Amino acid sequence: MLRIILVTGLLNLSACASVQPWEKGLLAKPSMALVADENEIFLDEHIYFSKEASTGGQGVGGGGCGCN
Amino acid sequence: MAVFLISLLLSHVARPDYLVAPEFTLPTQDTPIQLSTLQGKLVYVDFWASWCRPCKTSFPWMIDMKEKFKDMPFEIVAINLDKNKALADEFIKSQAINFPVAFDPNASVAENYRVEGMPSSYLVDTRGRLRIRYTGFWNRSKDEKEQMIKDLLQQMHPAADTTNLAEE
Repeated sequence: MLRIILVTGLLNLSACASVQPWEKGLLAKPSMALVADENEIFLDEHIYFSKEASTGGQGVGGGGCGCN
Repeated sequence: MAVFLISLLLSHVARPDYLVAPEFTLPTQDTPIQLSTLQGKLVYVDFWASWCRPCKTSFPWMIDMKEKFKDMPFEIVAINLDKNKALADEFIKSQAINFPVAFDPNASVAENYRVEGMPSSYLVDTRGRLRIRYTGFWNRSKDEKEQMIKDLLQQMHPAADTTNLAEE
């Protein structure tokens, strides 16, 4: 049983491949942004600020293309 | 003891060892380009892709640099890493590029250069050694990069006059 778990676990590890910088073209597409609609994020942030009296911490630096 | 002291002194006096820039031969829109044929020149090797915004921002600067140092032993080779060449061609057409653009869709050269981000650029000296690596492109670091090109050109060709190139 332990052996099966170990083998399955090792097989799953092979799925974790690092993405090279030149392979991030798809991630850089506007449609891959966490929020594609600028108005939506603006309204969300406005509501969040009004309710929580704080702002920020919602995004990531860059679109994941490794450019910055 | 004396030997130790002398060797210690020499190790400090000795110039740093630079890695040899990995050789490549890549197709361009014209004839294939080979890095070793550019020996004797300072070469700015730039890895870019059409989907990378900072890469595209760096093109006007590279065009400007090539123009500025056109009378010096200086060359720029921009290596495109797009899988779809048509996307690269579209961008190339929109720019007045004055240096060769090579294509490496399998990124084999990028792998040899251990590219860590886009864009990545390298300055290869006249003896084919990697002198400096830049990852990313920022407008604020343009002057510093230009100074580095100027310094390396001066170092390699002390007779060359780069002083008047500083103005503009």
